Amino acid sequence: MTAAHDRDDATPTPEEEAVERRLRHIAEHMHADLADAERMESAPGEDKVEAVLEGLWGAAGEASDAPPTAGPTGVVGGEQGSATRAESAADGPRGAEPSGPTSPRRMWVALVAAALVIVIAKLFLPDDDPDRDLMLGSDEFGIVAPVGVVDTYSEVVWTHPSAEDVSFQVEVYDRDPTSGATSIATSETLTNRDRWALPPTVESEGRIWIDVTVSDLDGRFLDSKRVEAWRR
Amino acid sequence: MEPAPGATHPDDLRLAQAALDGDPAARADFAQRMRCVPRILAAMNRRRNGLLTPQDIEDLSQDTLVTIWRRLHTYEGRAALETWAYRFCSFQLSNRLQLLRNRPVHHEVEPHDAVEETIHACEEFEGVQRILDRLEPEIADLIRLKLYEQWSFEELAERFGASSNTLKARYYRGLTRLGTLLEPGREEVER
Repeated sequence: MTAAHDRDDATPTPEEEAVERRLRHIAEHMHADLADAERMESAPGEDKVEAVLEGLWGAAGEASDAPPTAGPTGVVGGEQGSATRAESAADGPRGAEPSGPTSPRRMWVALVAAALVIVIAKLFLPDDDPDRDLMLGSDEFGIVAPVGVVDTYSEVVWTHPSAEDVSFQVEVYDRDPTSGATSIATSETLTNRDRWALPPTVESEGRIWIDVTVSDLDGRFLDSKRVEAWRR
Repeated sequence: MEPAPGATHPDDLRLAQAALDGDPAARADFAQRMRCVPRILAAMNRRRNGLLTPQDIEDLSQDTLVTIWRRLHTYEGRAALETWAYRFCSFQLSNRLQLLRNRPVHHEVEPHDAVEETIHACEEFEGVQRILDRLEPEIADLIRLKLYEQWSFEELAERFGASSNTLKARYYRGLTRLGTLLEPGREEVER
């Protein structure tokens, strides 16, 4: 095979063409989805986008009980905003929509408040779905990405973005681990994309804490994360 | 503030940063742009046999918006906001389908092959994104712009300030690296 680092021409090798074909195939799906989305006249939930986002950025600035991994408070480059902006943005997102005495404004505030309640309820409270015992975030988890919900039916697929060769250890607590609590459930060592469900023997209700430790296959510590969740 | 030099979509990056900073106009614009999320999810669902109900799509849209807002501070302007959001949609859709797959009650009523196929496609897409994240940023930008945004080499030459041939060589070199990472076994052979 041609050594890539010393090549000075712009002619692809057969291997490169094969990779390109594969990527083009993946990209075609994305283009088709985006094109379909653009042509679409409406979609379920589209009318709620503003309300959901308004609720979220209201929550980011105001909710004192925000989830532990929530909120981009360490905003990249947050020291300056638009030159035309009236208020300072030096310390990250806030519920920035100014309020006023007009009736439409009040209605808007009420709408935002309602959306905020929905979002917070969605984040913190168990819903009516009997399958949903434990709510976990997914992508916001940061180093580890569990699949949405853990219960006696579904399982978490543990993944780590940096490498395939990692292992996970999961410990579950029913009290804040910083207070010296003993774990109520411990996983075996899991590898990337292994599945693990919260054991049905865990009967505690209410808030629980999940510690995830990521190591390489030689057992060297790579990363760890603590997530608070809710078990019904 | 000025976007990072690597940003290929500086206007989108400015919008995201202003929205995070609390600028009301930027937030309104950002919300308008994020109307693409339910549409993308609905389009993905429609093209894959309508595996999810409209109610599922609505729920999933809200979950995806929550995640996007929480992760917006990581947006670097290396793709259009809609393309960036697409990755979250794909990830969330895959998660939701895996959840459905793992519920025994759904096994008899869901078109199982379509679920598996969709999960596989989403995982393949996410796998490529993760590998791109590991490549040298300029090479990754080159590949993203060429494949995802369909820039010509002439347009890329103008953007990167290098000749088309130089960029082609870099692009194909990037594909070689990407190919080895897509198939880890090959990396060992080529060392």
